[in-house]
Amino acid sequence: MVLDNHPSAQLRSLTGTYNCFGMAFANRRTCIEPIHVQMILDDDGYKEISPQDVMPGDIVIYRDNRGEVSHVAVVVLHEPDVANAKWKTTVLSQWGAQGEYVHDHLDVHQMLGTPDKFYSERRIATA
Amino acid sequence: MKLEDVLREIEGPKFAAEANFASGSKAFHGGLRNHRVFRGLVELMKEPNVPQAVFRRMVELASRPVQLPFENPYDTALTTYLTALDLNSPELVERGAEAVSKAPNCWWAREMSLRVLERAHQGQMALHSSQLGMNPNTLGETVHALLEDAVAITASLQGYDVNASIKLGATNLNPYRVIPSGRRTVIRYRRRRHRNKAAAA
Repeated sequence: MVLDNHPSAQLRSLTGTYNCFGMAFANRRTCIEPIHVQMILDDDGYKEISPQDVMPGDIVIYRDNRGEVSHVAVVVLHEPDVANAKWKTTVLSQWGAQGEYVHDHLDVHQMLGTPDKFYSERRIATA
Repeated sequence: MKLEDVLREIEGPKFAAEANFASGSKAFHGGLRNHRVFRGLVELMKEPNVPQAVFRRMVELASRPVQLPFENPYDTALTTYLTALDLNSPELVERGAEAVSKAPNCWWAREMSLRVLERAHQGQMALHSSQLGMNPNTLGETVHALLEDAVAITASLQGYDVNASIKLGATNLNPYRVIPSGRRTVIRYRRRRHRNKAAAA
């Protein structure tokens, strides 16, 4: 039923015990309400990064049409799409209570919003 | 669309699957209110006796036993009925929320029912405070103080030591059982007052 509208998405795990934020920020142990996401990003030292700096393990935050946080996904693959002069980003995310899916970061249910910005908590050594 | 068809659709897996794409309660309720089936239910609820039928169905679902290792299969349906009652039948929604809040292993339904009950509680507090001509924020403190005096009077009439009866939580007469918070503050206050009396004596 879920895959009818997203045929390229690949199911990883069927579970409803956590939501997307619980998957990304709480080791798949619980649900986290979207209102707490900004606090988590601040506390955990996440910083916004530009699309060309994205690496696997970074996250992408989705927002709804009111600009509120609606979804999060973890980047698993980020590569240049030379033919179309853009980046192709494959992510892993929990779709509500419907399970985890590997999918293109633009291919999500409308209820999950649209990709807004990439964030990373990476600590990079500086010279 | 007939009511039976709408109820069947709401309790079916497709409706639950579509509604449960949401990551948070705001998205869930936004998606619910825009859903074709929910809008159909809201339309039907304008007809007489339909709200009562939905209420009865909701209470029946809420009391059904569930397999405890799994989520309640009627979580989405219960939330949908409660939301529809909240929009159309405020006289039924509070009783419905009480029933739904007891349904095991619910996520959305529990959150919604607690929100309805909290709102009803706040409404009662506002009503009582307006009847008493008081600020709603100070009503709770006044009730605590009155109950404190009631404990002291009852204890002394029955020959209890006031401090002891409060400290032990004297189960037969202690109205503190019904106070959800502020108990420690009141007890501390009472003890301090008695200490001062003893010091003065």
